[in-house]
Amino acid sequence: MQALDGIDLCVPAGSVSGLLGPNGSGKTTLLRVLATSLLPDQGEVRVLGRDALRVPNQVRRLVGVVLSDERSFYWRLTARQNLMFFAALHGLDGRRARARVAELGGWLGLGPELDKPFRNLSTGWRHRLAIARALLADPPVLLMDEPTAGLDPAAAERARRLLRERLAGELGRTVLVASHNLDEVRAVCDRVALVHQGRLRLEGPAAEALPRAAEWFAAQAAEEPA
Amino acid sequence: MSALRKAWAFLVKDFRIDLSYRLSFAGNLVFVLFMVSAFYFLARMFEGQDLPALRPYGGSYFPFVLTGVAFSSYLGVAVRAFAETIRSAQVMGTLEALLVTPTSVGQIVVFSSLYAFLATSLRVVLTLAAGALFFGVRFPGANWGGAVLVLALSVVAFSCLGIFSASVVLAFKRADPSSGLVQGLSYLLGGVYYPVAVLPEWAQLVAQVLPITHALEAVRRLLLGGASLAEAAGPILGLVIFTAVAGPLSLTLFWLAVRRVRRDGSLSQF
Repeated sequence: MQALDGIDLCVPAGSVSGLLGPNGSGKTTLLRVLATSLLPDQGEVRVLGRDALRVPNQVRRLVGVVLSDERSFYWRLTARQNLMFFAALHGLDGRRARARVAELGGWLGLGPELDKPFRNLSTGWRHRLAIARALLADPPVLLMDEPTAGLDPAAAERARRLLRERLAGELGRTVLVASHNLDEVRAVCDRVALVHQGRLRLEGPAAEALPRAAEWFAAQAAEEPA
Repeated sequence: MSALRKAWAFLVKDFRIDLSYRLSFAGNLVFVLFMVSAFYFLARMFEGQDLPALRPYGGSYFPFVLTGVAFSSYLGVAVRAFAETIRSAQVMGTLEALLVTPTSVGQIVVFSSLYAFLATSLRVVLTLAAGALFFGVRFPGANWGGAVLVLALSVVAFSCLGIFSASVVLAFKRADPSSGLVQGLSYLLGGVYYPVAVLPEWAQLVAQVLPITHALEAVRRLLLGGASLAEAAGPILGLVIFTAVAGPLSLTLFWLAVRRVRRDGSLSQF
C-alpha cells in the first residue's frame, strides 16, 4: 500500500502550518516520516537543513512530537517521573532535567498535577503533559498529531490558545499540526496543506487555501452516501 | 555518558513500575525461598548416596541443582527480555514515544531489558544465599571472580538467542516459537537439573550446541570444584565459539528486522 505519493511540501521556519485531510489521508504517516520513526521508500526529507534519512538522530534533536495517543506514557509513574524519564532520553542530565521539568510545569500550569500518577490525570492534563514532553529538549520544530482530539470544547480552546499564543507567539516555534478539523486549523494556522490519498491536493497561506479546502471537504461529503 | 544516563533512566523507570506492583514484587522474593526449599527436600532423597555423575561437582545433589536453577534463570531472561520489551512497548503504546527521542532502537531494546537482568541477578544472589543460610550449602574454595566473568560471558551468549527472538517479534508481531524450543531443550539437555553425563550419547552431543551446557559446566567447576579459569577453559571456549557465531548472525537479523518494520511502518503496531 502506498501511503504517501509524491508529496512536495515546504514548511517555512517560524510558521504554524496545518496539515488537513480526512481520516486515513496520510497526515500521520507524513508526521511520522518527519519524526524519523518511519522510513520512506524514496524521496528527500529535510528538517532545518538536516537530512532526516541520513542523520535521523540529529533530526530527532530538532523535533518535538506531540502524540495524541495517551498510551504513550507510563501510567504507573507520576507525570514528573514520566517527564524525567523522557528528559534523560533527550540527553538532559539530572539537574537540567529537574529544572526543565519545573520550568515547563510552571509554563504549562501543570502545578500539583506533576506529582500525580499519570493514570489519575484528566485528558486535558494528559494533553498538556504531551506538550511538555515534546518541549523537554527545547526543539525548534513541533509536530502535533490531532492536538485537540478527545478534549472537551473548553480544553480544546485552551489547547489552541496555548499553541497559537505561547508555542508559536512567545517561543517562535515552527509548528506543523495534522488535523481533520477545519475550525481548528482556521484558528491556529498561517499556512494550510490538504492531503488526500497520500497526495498533496492544495497548499498555501491560510487565507487563500482554507476556503478551497472547505469547498473540497464539502464536495467530498456530497459525494459520499449519508 | 549520554548512553549511561539513558540506561540509568530505563533502570529507574522499570524499578519504579515494578515497585508499584508491591504484591507481585514481594511475591517474587518469597517464591525464591519456596523454590530453594523444594529442591532441598528433593535433594534429601539422594542423601548419603554415592552418585558417580555428581563426583566432578563435589558429589552432593543440592549444591549442584541450586547452581543450575540459579544460573539458568539468566537464560530465561535473556531469551525473553528483549522480545518482551518490544512486545510490551508495542502493546502499551510507548514505543512510538521512545522512537522519536534521539535513542536508537538497539539502545531502547537493550536498556529496557537491563532491569530484568538486574532483577534476575538479585534472584540468583537470593537463591544462593537462601541455600547457604537456611540449608547449609557451602562453597569452599569457590572461584567467585571467575564465576562472575563466566556469568557475564554467558549473558552475552544467551542474549544472542534473545536478540534473534526479538527480531522475529519485530518482524512478525508474534512471540518467537523457536525461543520456547531453545529453552525447553536447554532445560532438558543443558544440565540444569541433572548432569549431562546421564544423557544418552547422542543427546550429550546435541547438548554441546546449547550455550547453557557450557555456562553451567564452567560455573559449577568454578564454584563447586574450586577450579581456576584455565581449568575451566574447555566450557569457556564453548561459550566463546557460540557467541562468535551467533552474535553477528543475531545482530544482522535484528538490523534487517528494524529496517523492514521502519519501512513498512509497523514498528509500533502489534
